[in-house]
Amino acid sequence: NNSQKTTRDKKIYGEDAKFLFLKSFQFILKRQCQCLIQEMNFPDQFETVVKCIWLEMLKSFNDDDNMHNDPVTDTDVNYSDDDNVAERISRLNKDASRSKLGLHMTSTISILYMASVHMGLPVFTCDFIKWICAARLPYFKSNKSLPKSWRIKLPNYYLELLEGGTPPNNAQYYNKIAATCAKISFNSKFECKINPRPFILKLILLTTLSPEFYFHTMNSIELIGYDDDFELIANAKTHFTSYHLHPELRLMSYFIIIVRWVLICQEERYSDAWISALIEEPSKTETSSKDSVERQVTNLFYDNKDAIFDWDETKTLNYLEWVEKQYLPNHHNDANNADLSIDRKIAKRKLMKIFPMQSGNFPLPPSEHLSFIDHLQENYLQFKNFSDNNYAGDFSRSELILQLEGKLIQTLAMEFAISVDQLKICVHKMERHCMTNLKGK
Amino acid sequence: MFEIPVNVNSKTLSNERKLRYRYINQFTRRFERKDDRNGMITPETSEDELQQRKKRDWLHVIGEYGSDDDERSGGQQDDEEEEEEVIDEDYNLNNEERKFFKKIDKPQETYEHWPSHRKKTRIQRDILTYHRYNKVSRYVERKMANSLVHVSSKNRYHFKCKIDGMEIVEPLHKGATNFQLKQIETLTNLLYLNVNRGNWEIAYKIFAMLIRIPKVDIRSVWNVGNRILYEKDKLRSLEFLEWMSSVYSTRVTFIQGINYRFDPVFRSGSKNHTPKYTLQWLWNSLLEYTEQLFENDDENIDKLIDKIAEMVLIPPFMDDPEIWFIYSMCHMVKADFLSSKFDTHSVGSMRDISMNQVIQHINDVKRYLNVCKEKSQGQYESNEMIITKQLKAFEVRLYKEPVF
Amino acid sequence: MNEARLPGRRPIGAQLGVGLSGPSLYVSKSAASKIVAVADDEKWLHCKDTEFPSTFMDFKVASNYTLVNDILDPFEIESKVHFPSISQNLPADEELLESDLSDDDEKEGNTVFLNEHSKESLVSNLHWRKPSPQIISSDLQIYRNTEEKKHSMFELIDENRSESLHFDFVPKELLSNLTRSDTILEAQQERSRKLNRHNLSVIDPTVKDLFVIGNVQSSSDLRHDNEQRQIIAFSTGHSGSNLIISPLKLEPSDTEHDIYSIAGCSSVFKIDLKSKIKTIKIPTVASSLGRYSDCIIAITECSLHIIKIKSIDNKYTKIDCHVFDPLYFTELSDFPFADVAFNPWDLTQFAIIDTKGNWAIGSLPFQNKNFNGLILNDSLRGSIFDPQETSLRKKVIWSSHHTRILLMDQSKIVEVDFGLNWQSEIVQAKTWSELLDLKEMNEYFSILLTSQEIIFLRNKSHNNEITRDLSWKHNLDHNDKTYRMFIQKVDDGYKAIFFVYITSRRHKNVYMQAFTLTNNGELIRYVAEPIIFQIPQKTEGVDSIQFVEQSLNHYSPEPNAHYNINLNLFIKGTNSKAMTTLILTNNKNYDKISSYESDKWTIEGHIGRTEIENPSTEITFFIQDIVNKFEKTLTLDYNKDKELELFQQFGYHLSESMNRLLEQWEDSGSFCSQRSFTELHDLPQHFENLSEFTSLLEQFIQYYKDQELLFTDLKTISNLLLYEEVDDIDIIYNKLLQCWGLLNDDAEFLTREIVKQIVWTMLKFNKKNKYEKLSHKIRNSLGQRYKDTIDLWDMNELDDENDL
Ligand SMILES: [Mg+2]
Repeated sequence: NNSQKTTRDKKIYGEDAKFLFLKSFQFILKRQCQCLIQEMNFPDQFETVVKCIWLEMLKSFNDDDNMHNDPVTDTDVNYSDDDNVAERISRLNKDASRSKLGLHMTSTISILYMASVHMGLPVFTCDFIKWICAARLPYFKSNKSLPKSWRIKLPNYYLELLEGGTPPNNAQYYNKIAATCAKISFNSKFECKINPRPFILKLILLTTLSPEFYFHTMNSIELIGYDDDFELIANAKTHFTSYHLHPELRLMSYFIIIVRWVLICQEERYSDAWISALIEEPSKTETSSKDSVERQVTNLFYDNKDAIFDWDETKTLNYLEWVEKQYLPNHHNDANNADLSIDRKIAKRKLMKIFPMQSGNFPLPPSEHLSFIDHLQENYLQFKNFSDNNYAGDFSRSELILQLEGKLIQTLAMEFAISVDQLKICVHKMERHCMTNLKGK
Repeated sequence: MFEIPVNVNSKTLSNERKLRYRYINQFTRRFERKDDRNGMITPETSEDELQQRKKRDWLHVIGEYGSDDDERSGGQQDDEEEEEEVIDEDYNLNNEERKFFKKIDKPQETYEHWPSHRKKTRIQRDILTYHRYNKVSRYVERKMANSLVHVSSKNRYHFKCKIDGMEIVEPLHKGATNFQLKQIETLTNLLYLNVNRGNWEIAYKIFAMLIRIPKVDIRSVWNVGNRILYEKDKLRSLEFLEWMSSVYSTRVTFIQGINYRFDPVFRSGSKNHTPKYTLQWLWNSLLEYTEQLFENDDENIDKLIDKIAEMVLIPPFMDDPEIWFIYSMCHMVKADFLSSKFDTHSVGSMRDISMNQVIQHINDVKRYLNVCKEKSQGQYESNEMIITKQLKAFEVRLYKEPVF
Repeated sequence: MNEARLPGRRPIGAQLGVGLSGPSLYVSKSAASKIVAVADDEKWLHCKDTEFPSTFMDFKVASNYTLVNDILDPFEIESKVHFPSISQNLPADEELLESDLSDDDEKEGNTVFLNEHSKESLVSNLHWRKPSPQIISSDLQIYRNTEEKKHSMFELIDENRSESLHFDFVPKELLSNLTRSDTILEAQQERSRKLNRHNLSVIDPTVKDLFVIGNVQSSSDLRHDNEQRQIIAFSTGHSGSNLIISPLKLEPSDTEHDIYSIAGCSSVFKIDLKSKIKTIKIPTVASSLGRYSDCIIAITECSLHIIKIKSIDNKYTKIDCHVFDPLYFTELSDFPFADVAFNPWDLTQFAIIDTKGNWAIGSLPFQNKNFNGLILNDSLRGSIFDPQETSLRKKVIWSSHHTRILLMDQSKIVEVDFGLNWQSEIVQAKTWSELLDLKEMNEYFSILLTSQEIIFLRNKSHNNEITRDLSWKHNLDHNDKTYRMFIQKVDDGYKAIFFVYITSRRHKNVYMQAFTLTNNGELIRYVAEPIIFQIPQKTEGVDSIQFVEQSLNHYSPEPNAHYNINLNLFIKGTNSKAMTTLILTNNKNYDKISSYESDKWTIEGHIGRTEIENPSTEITFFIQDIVNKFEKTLTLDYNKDKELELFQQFGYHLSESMNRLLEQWEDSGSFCSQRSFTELHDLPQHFENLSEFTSLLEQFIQYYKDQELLFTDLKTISNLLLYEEVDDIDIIYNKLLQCWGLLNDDAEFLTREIVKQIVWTMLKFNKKNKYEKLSHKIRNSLGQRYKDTIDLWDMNELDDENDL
């Protein structure tokens, strides 16, 4: 197969490939910065901060090179044309293992997150996860956006890395952040503390809890978490399981524990109806906000139930609108058809004519979205209506509290791309920590 | 839950096949050798080699193992390269799969092989004993040990469960998590869900978007598209089926020696297999034009008759009894229409002409029905009794005395 | 009325599916309308039954309730002699029995793996010599620890042997050392390491219905001319070895749909079959015999059991059964049984097939003899073993004749006439599909489920052969091999409707398609597009569905109402022992129940906890402290009049410390700090006017912007938190108040305080160009190739290269 061979021959290997990969990675990182600045209103300075962190990364690679600088680097060795594939692959693997950059698409959002922490912006891991899953931030199929000449030269191994594949889950994102911090000694060079206040607010808005829990959580952190400074952790281990050391998860665990304790101890203040109102699923989704649609799309990857089988018409239409406006244009633009033969192009065009996106015979209602705040208000309104009624269920108070905790854990685990079990362990460990601190007082 | 219209390729999947077929081939060989003392593995004949070469040539023609030619030319540069890697592997390592399929008849009309003439043999009375099974499987497991070293633990685990006859609940491919596949999977599930619920507007939208994703192979979902259009825009659905019939043509030969990854049953046609979308197109056209005919518009049905008259001159249509049956039904519809319009008062040449017309159509019905029977070697069940009864009734109309 | 079959090519038949219609037959209105059953406005006889209204398939789940609870053993089988349970003989310290290597984070329930597969690999890796694969003691179970629950399975049979345990006990450490290479344990270790990330669960395809519902008619019923009785039989217990048989009663009720219940504990028949039950069946009897069977069959890991129901008293309070001696699999060959079928024309004959395809015909012992065991015929046996087939999936059903059976494995169906000594292959599936399930439908048809289609096999065609009559392409994911098919028949006098349900162990969605068959067995057609419904129950997948006999309701006065039907379904999910019922209805008057209704959040706060303990005194006091502190903040008073003064003073302090900071500002080394407003001054607590506060900040920021400083933009903060660009703190406050205002009376105060705190702690500032300097510095420390790389950062022209 000739065409096959020619594309293969254009590939470059060894050090050349590594640097082209670094350039490509950097290219994507910069795209992401620009997107955040333009679309999400990040400060202009953000790009320079990211660039500084990226420079630190480069510096660490540079230092790695100098450390195991073996004299027989074969950067200059050209691969002859008659190399068989297996040999090439094995060489490629050797190259890859020698350089061990440890870069992955999750590294991009780790760097972006670290830059945000440094600048004290109120964005959290859940935001980055939502943005990549909802195709707001360039991430998946990023290899497609590279300059074509680079794409042709870059070995498949690297191209695959830039493809994005699966959104991070099971705390992979947190571990990548920790690994990246370790790589460049982030904590000694940059601001690495998380501001707990906006984070707690975020948690409250995500769970439709009432605002006094902001104060309860903040006060108890002051009292029992006095030794916590919520710094990003640096850890290079691949199988790192002390998730509770990650500051966001730490804060989340405090929050969950405090909610439970307050509900147990303050029976008069929070009735059974109040708790069950929080457990209640939003009954109907006649309304939605742009944010809720993005979260719906994101949850596709993290919800283990067959969520779409429960989707009502609004949710279905929301998803379709997202596919049409956000997914299709970003991932499957017409440029992809450029290589089709003339016949195929004509046939394809004809097919598109038979199935136009908008068809008079199949009219769909226009979509309308509320603002985030208006939608949030509706959620609170529903909570209020439920909690005003008397509780009529069969569950005991302690069962209700546990159900609520189950729901909080499930919701937050989903938003922050961590497994339910992992979050449960965090809560468990933090509870022990709290108890020790309480007893010590 | 539903099948996604995409060719999912991954290393895990190709390793799975590789291990499975290697095991089966080795097991079968060992088992049969024990069974039949002087049985030898027949060496590859030169004819086989010829077949091999032919096969290789065909790979160029039809794209990798019958996989989507649309996709091949579709500009997904690196996807294509990924795929090529897999194919290389298929070619070099997966000849176990080819070895397995070499002896197996690959049907085109159905997913399974349904013999039309069943051979009756005496009951196979030898019972498999554990001793024999154990001997063979131990041997094969030893042989397999090497192949198992180089695969992922997931593959290994999956393989061991498979040879123990168990089923793994979770899917092996990563469709559930991969970003691109997730969207296709979601759209597909929503598509079927909304078709089944009769939400045609939503279903239409999903279909329109799905076919705009380059990876998606319309041949896996054309029936759904047809169903959606049929609900509200019958003419458009005929247009679509015609498009399918013209774009995915029947000029290819189906070669038994190739491991087609996709079934040809509903997805494609060949020189001896009429594609289902073509049959569907003819049936839907006939049904629709019958309605038009009884609203006194005979233009389309005549066109259809001409169209089929042309089709039956070439393969695969000329040998397909169903095409001939449709042909005869066309004439039957016309015969009914013309005979019911027949004016028993008319006289002279006018009367002769219209009478001849009806009789001509009646004869055509009978003639093509016979061809249909012939082509199917008596395997086509056409309710001749009912048809004959109806034809008689049409004839009677011509001679019925007018009622005053 | 004379009826016709659909036209079509044999042996393929009509191939249908969504948007796929098979051949049709033209039916002239005037000439032939009486020949064929078509609706009035049709000119064609289609594969679709047009008689049904388009709303017929609008089924929805109308109600559900639990029939049998998710209790391990609702009808605990009392042992005849009561012995002290294991736990009482043990030293107080449980740790002795529980030797668990994994740490406490990774506990995953007590029973580790219960299926036969794991036992086998375990035993084989322990190198216990075994003459045949199934001579693993049937009671070998692996537990992380033993439960103290009193249960016959755990009780010692012999008091004198009280030192030993009923189970073979192997310490966990030893096991894991011995079985390093074992796949199951490997996977298990992996599981615990990755915390269920690729939790691969394995199922045995020979495990089928663990509960059945059906009709039986005992010989005493026949003698007394009693009607058939509805019964339910199911397996329970720790090891799933107990079989319970109970009458299934239709409760008198005033609701519109039926409610069923099972008899109380004392009136059920219970038996311990000593080995895990894999499938339970009630034989079907040919309609020509005009009666029902009186047997219940159960296949366990090692034997076949048949229980004959001798009588059920009229009040449904007592079932009297006769238990035949079990037939062990060693009677046939060395492999466990996979499936069994009774001869519908001879209630004493059965066919059995094992997991490798060996089969045999057997019979019940004659009565009045001393021998009570089941007998396999020595000459009527054979094998369909296929070396190319690895799956254990095997099925046997009776065919069209009393000496013919159909034997199925995953890739073929073989018909065997053991009377005439021939066999022939009906279908071979080695290419595009697998055979997954085969069921008898009625005397005319059997239904085959493949990974691609639902196929109707006509039992008797003109030449007495089995033919493929009609297929329905279901479009379900063909990689899922866990599908099972269930058939519900609803008769309406001249036509029968067959609802075909396909369930999966992967998800709880059920696929359902309906077909009709005319009473003479000639014309089979589909009704409409299939439906999908979801089991309103917290479960991962569906194990089985059972039905009771039902017919269409003909007595409703509403038009078209006789097409309204409530289908009773009895369902067991994969991860619970509970059996629930649900009603599917196409009656518009019913409300659909929300599928969430019974899908509540698990009562489980964190690891293994199902109950909340009383809070310790420390916690109570601590929470009291916190609440007090919170209430104290609420009582803070504003002094509105003094606010202006306050702001002036605050602004003064702010710029004072800023100026001081600017003088001292020095960037130390490589650390680049981001300065915060909190460094400058504490936020005054007592003020209310947020607009005023905003303008104060604005003036302040504006002033220092000119001094080469960069500040956090309020718009950025509001956009990231509230998804709206707002540059006034007062507006942020009002937005949040819009949500919280209705919650409680203090909302204004709380919202204001939160907004103040958040904005104040988020405001940062920094020197312009500071990062540029830093980046320059790092760049210069890099090697040339890295320098080249980073220099590309600021080149925007790269994008254009894309078009080249
Ligand atoms: Mg085995």
